[in-house]
Amino acid sequence: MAGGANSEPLLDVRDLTTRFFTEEGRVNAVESVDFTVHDGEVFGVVGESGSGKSVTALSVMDLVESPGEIVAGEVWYRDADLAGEMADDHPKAVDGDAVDLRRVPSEVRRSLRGSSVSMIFQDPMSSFNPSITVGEQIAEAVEVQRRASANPRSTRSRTQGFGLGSMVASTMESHERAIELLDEVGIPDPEARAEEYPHQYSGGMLQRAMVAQALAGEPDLLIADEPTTALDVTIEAQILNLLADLQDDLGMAIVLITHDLGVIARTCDRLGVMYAGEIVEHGSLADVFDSPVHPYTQGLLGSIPDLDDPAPRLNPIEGNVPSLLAAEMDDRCYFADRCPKAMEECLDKPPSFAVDGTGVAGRTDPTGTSATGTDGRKADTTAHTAKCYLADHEYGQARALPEGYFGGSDGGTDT
Amino acid sequence: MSERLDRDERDVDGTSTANADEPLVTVEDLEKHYYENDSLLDRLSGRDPTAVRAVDGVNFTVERGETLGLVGESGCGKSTTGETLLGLREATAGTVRFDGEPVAGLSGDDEKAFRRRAGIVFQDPFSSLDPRQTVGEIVREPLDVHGIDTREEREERVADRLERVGLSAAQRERYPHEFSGGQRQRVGIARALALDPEFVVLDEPVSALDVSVQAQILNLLGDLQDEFDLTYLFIAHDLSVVRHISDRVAVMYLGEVAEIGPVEAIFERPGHPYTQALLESVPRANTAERDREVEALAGDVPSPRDPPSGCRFHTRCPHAREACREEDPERFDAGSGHEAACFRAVDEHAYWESAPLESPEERAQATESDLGERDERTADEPSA
Repeated sequence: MAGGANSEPLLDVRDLTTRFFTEEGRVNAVESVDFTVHDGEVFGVVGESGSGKSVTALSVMDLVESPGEIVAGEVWYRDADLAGEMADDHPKAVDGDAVDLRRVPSEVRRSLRGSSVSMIFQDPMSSFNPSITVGEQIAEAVEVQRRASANPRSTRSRTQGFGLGSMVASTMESHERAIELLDEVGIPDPEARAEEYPHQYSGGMLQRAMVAQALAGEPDLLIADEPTTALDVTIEAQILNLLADLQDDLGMAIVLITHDLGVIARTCDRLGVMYAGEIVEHGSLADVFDSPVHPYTQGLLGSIPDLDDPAPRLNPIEGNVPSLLAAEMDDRCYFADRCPKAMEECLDKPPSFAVDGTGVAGRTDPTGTSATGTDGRKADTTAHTAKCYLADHEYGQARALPEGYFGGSDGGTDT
Repeated sequence: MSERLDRDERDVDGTSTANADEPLVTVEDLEKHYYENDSLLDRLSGRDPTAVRAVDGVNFTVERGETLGLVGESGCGKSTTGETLLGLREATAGTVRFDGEPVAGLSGDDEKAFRRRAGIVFQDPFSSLDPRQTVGEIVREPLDVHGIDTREEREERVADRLERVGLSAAQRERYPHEFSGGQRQRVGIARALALDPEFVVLDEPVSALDVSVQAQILNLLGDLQDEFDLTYLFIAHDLSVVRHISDRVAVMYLGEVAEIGPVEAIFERPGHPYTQALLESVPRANTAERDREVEALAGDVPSPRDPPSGCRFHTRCPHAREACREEDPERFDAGSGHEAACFRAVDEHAYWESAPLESPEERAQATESDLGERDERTADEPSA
C-alpha cells in the first residue's frame, strides 16, 4: 500500500458528527465517524441510500448547508506548511504536521478546497453551469488556483470572491491549462471540445471534464461521491480506469463513495461500511469482503447477484433502512431490528471491536508512544473493526431476542 | 430459431390459432422512430423531420412460462421496446403477436381482453403510483376498469394480492408516501397482478432500489412467477440481475438486438463483441477484482439520430473490419438457440478476408469530432 505503514495519515477524521435540524426533528445523518486516509491510498465508503455516506464527504469538505450542521468531530489534515502558518494563531489546531480543519477559520478551510482537497460529484449534468463552455469552467478553476498561489493565504479569502465579470477573467494561460487537463482525462480533440457547452457532451465525457476540473488545483486528496453511478457500465469502466491511471501518475489519495460493492472491489485499498450514519465495519478490502463480521456487511454481500456464479436464490436483508430521525432512534445497535443474530446485548450500543479479538478498538493509544501524545494519537487505524458484539464473542442462542421483538408495527412484512 | 423461418408460412395462413407450443409473444421487425423538428413551423419552413431510431428492427420471441431478459445501456431502446410491445406506444413498423394475435389495431373488447392478459411494472415506484389514491384503490383500479366481479369480490382480491406481494391487507387504507421504495414497488407488482395476467413486462423493476431491497423484490418476482404461472419480459441494465432472473437473454445495442440466447450461453460464451465488452466492464464484488485488467470499450454510444452504417457497433468494436462498415450483419446461429449479429460467428464469412479498421481509440477520436460538428449544427434544438 502506498504511503507506508508508519507514515502519518493524510486525512484523519475523528468522531465526526453531522445533524440536520429539520421541521420534523433532528436527523442524525452522520454519527461519530472515524476513518483515516493515507498518501496515495483509495479509501472506500459504501452504504445504501440514506446511510450518510455523502454527508460524510460534505462534512469533510465543510460543504454542509443549513439546516445541516457539523456538531462535533475533528478533521486532521496533514500539511506541514499550513501547520507552520497556523501554529501561532491557532496552537490547539496544530499537532505536528497535521491541522484540525474544524478548529481553523472557515477562510482557511475554503483556501484548501480545490488546491488540497477536491471533490467530484455524482451527476455531471447538474454539476456544470449549462450556459458557460466547459473549457471556460475548467479555466476558472485553474485561475482560482493561480491567483491563490500568487497571494499569501491570509488574503486568499478576499481574492477568491469573484465579482462581476469573473466569467471572462480567465487568462490565456488558464485556458491553455484547461485544454491540457481535458487532454489528460482522455477527451479527444480537447481544443474544440473546450469551446463546447455541457449539453454537447455525453455523460461519460462530462464526468471526465469534472475530473479535469477537480485536478486543476493538483489536489493531494480527491473525494469522489458516486462518480460512476449515473453512467452506463462500459463508460463506468472507462472512468474507473481513468481514476486509477491518474492516481498512479499523480499519487493522490482518493475517498471513493459509492453504493456499488463492485466499484469498491475494483478500486479500494480499505473501506468503511456505513449504516444509519455510522461506519459499522472497517478494514482492508480482503478483511471486509472475505471475512465480514457485521451481519449487515454479510447481508449486503449476500444481496448482490453474482455475475459469474449465480445462486438460485438471493439472501436479502429483511426490513428497511431505518429513519434517522433522532426521536425514532433508540440507543441500541441500529441494525438490531433487521439483524438475524440480534441478542440482548444489542440493545446497548456496541462499541467498535477489533476483529482479532483484542477487545474494544480504542482511538487513544494507552502507551503514548507517539511523539504527539498530548492529544492522544490513536492506535492502528487501519485494523479490521466492527461495531458489533459478534466481533467480540460468539452468537448465543440463549440470549437471542425473541422474534418480533421490535414489533412489525403493521403486522405485515416490512419491506 | 425456427420461428423466424416459418414466419412467412404463418403470414400465408392469415390467422394462426392459439397453440401451446407457440411462443406467447412474437416480435417481428419492430420499429419505433420518434421525430424531431416535426412542428408545424418546421414543416412550413420546409425542414425535414429528424428520425430518432429508438427501436430499429427488433425480432425476438418470449416463450410461455419463461423470463426473457432484455439488457442494454441507456438509450438502446429496451424500454421503448417493452412499451411498444404492449401497445402503449404506437409502433412505426413491424408486428407484435400475443398468443398468435397481432396486438396493433386492437380495439374494444379485444383490446380489453389483451390488457387483462398483459401487465406492466414500471421502474420508478415513486412516480408510477397516484399519490392521491390509497394503496387499496390503486390495486383495485384495474379490476374496476375491467368490471371484474362484485365489489366485495374485488376487495377480497385486492387483499389477496397485497398479501401475496408481502404487504398486509391492513395497509390498504394507506397512501403511497407512507411506504418505502421497496414497499411501493410491491404495490406496483400487486397492481400488475390484479387482473391475473399471463404476461408481465417488468421495466427496470429493481434499479431504483437499494441492493438489500432489490434482492427481496427479485426473490418475490421469482416466487410469483411460479405461483401465478407468469411469463416475464424483464428489462434491465444490470447484468448481474439479468443473469439471476432470466432464462433467455437478448442484448440490445442502439435499437437492435445484438445477441440473443439462453442465459448460460450469453454469459459463458458471448458471441457478440458488445456482449463481451459489457461483461468485461461490470465490476465484480470480490477481492480478485482489484487485479483484473479491464479493457474498457472506447468512445460513447453513437446517436440514434444518425446510427453508423453497417454494423452499429463497428465504431467501438475492437474486432471491426471493413466488412462491418459496409454490411449490417444479420443474426447468425451460434448453436442451440443462440444467435449473434456478428460476422465473427460465421467461419467462412468475407469478414475474415477484409482489412481490419484502425483501433477503436483512433476511430473514437474521429467519431467524437463528427459528433461535435453535428451537435453544433443542432445546438439550437431541444435534445431528445
